[in-house]
Amino acid sequence: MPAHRTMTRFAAALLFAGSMAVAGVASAANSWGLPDEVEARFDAKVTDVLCVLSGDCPEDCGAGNRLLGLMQDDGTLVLPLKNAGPFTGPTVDLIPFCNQRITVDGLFTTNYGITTFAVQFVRPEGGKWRGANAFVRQWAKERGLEAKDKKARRWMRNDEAILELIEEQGVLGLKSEGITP
Amino acid sequence: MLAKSAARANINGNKARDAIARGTLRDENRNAGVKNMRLIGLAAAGLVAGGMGLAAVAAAPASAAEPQRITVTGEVIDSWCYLSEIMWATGSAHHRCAVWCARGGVPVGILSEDDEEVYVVLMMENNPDVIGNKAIFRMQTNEVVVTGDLYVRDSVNYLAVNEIVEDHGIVNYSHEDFDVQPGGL
Repeated sequence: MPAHRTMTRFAAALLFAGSMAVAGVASAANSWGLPDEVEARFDAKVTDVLCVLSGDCPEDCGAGNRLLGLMQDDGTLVLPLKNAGPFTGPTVDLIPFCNQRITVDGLFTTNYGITTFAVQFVRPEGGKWRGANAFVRQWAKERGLEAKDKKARRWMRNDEAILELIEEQGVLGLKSEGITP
Repeated sequence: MLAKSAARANINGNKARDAIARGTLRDENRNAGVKNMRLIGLAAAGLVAGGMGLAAVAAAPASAAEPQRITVTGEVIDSWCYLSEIMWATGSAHHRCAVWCARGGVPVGILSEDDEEVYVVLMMENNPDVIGNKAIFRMQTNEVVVTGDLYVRDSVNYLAVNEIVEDHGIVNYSHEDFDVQPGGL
């Protein structure tokens, strides 16, 4: 990456993460030891990122299939990459609140000049806090399991689509070349 | 109540400053010889302003801009594992984990080979359904050449991929150095 671009984005990211931390109230987030981690709690509107950037705006924010963002009151678009579950993203946690304001609690992390957010807790407006672990809850429910079931907690080891793909490609993705661990 | 809130804000402000100190060191380590004190000063000034209650002003959002059509050659990656550095997150060593995360709804990215920029995939072959998309998580770890529309917003590169021009499959045999990531799972 060119040095001047790195520095410009680095400075912008610092401004962004720093202002988020100062502007927020106390967070209940658990530290994960992330690069330049900042605990934060803030209000935002759940937003379809493609809608914000291009004007293509389905009413349902893409029904959980599109990239979702958190639009703050000052127009800052926060990209949530992760939720509190194992190997899972935040879309299932956020999509019920498409175009609604919520409060999120979690961790900002800044690396390579890019600031993203890990959602650990979600609170709908006027509602109660809930852990951001909806993917596993939904995965378990679809299979008639409790979310605390061992099979659900290790969903990635038991997911049919993953098992099929790993069987085909191998753990390293190089099975067709005869390379396996 | 106000005093308590102020104390909380101060705690968060200290954390932010600590993060900045660490980030500065990290950036200097990665970019040996790169010195741009004006920008560092700008960042520090912004944080001071934030500490004075002017955070909203300091964090003024980037305005929406017209996309730029670009061509990117790079590896399809799990954006979270790469950006969080919780493990080695490129190549064959990380392939299975990248599949897990893509299936689990973590946004997929493309790590460009020439400048190591991360592009978060906003659309793939004009399809906006990129979360948990089986066609996409089948492509994890592959080296691809894509054309697309680049949107830059609040430090993030978003790439709406119009076309996959080439798909070279997996060319990064990182398992030779890093075994399977994450270990023990």
